[in-house]
Amino acid sequence: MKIDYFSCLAWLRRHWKTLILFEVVACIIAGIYLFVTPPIYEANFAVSMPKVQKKDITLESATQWRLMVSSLDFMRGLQNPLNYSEGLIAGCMGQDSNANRKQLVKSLQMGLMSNGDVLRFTLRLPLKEPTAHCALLLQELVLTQLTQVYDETVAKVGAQLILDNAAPSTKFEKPGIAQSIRLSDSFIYPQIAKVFMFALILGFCVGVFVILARVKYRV
Amino acid sequence: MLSIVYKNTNSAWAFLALLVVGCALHALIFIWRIPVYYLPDLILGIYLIYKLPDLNQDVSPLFFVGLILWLGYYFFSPPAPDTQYTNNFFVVLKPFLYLSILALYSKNDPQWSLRRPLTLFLYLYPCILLWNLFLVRLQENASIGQLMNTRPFFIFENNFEITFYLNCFAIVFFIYQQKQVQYFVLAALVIILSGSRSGLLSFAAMSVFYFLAVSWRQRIVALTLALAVVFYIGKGRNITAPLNSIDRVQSLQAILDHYHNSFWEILSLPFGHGIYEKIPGYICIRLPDFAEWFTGNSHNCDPLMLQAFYSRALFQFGIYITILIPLLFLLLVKKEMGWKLACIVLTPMTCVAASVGGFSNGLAFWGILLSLYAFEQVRQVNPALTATPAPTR
Repeated sequence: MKIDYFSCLAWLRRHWKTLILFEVVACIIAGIYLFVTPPIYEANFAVSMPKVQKKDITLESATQWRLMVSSLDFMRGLQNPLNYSEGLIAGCMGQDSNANRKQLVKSLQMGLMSNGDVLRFTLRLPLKEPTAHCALLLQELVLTQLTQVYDETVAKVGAQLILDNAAPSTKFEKPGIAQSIRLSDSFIYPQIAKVFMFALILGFCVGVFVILARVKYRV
Repeated sequence: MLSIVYKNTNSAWAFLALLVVGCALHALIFIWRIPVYYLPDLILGIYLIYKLPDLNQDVSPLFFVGLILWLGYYFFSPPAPDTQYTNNFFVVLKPFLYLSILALYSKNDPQWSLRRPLTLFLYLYPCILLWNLFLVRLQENASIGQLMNTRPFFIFENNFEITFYLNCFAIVFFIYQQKQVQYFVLAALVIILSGSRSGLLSFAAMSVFYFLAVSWRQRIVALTLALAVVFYIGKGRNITAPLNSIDRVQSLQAILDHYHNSFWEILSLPFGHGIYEKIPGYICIRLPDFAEWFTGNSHNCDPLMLQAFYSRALFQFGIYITILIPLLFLLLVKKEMGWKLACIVLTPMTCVAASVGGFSNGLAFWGILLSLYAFEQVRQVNPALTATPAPTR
């Protein structure tokens, strides 16, 4: 494709009115989009994983902390839409449906912090209050599930210690809140400047396409 | 020295004048620590605006590929959590912008010949490195041993500058066909002076092309010099240390661990994590001091701290786009210069991308752009020169 500065300039001079028209239309559509789209808020929180202090097999005197459940495995469990109670889905998404369950999982980002022993959650949902409420429900769910793992492990390790007649020197660490729920300062999406920039670029491209098509097919 | 410069450039006075200007400029940057990181991009921007009225060429459709990738990543990357610092994402987007510029301006060479300034630069740069060492000696009263461990530079960290220098070497040697051994000696001297490991990697790759293009006598000289450079850098920068202790390798390993070392998991993220996504905290902790070094805050884990372009691109763009970027560069340069010269010209940038900056470095991009312009100017003088030049032997 040949691009020549002066030809481009002449072409723009010839068609600037049409291009401006398309830009205005694109900006109006962007404005409508911004008006219609509910603002997405973000809630962040972090939960520390339950840990157990075990003897290192290689060094008899040394001990080391280990996670009772792999952080990644736990995260994978939370990516299952069926892992959530009806109450939680209804509390977060309005009503319990399969679509809403999948939508909730998609709205939830998880990651590891610290040395992999802290789970970070980022929840993005429409409107401020529902996002805060849902984050609270999720935090409770995560803590409940992790406490269950903790109780089971403590019971299992305790029974093993009695069997081995060993001194109960093994230590445990309960799951807990590493970072309490924090809401975004304002909505994070849609970003007004970006929407208008995108609309301007798209308006220009569509305008160029329409002008070229009109010239080609002599409409 | 002056007589050699005069013999090759017919401009000993210009050399002296440029040397004084270069040394003064370097002294300014050295003493006042002037921020110059975006200087090549600034000059590039000025050049693009200046040459806009001369725009008149066939533009490769890859121009649109670069533009779409640029806009796509900018507009559609998922935003990072609100509680985290913003990434320096403009640097991340630079390769796509460079691709578009390369497609749009590939034939928009300057009116004046590049031959003399580029040849002069080959002589100037080692002198400025020596000047830097002299300034270090003055400032820190450093001994010869300490100076040998210093990393002299002109305006940046020398890893970036060497890429540009090797491109200038490629232009003079492979495009202008000035096949004197002295240029190779100068390149070897620059690598020795700079003490750069990634520079050594690029130099080794360039040496292969050089080796294939010269006579037996020059091959022996080249081999001896290359071995001397490897020995010197190897001794000084401890390249024989375990690979795991090199920060770039550590960061690549950390990213591969993030994907559980599973190739399928890497493939499953077609567009990576996007340009706003932070490095996972546990990786950040595994690479202590990096975040602080790059951002001044140990909690600001900008992916730029994964210095090597490929590690960063794998995380932010995904594997497909990471592979696509060098391929697009190669296709664009090959269109103008042919396969052989395209491979030579892109070697420094591709090598340095394994260590620093690479495809998102303005100076490295200038090296590619100047190579295209030098080739274009040679072709204008000699229209018989096509995209597949005659063997350089």
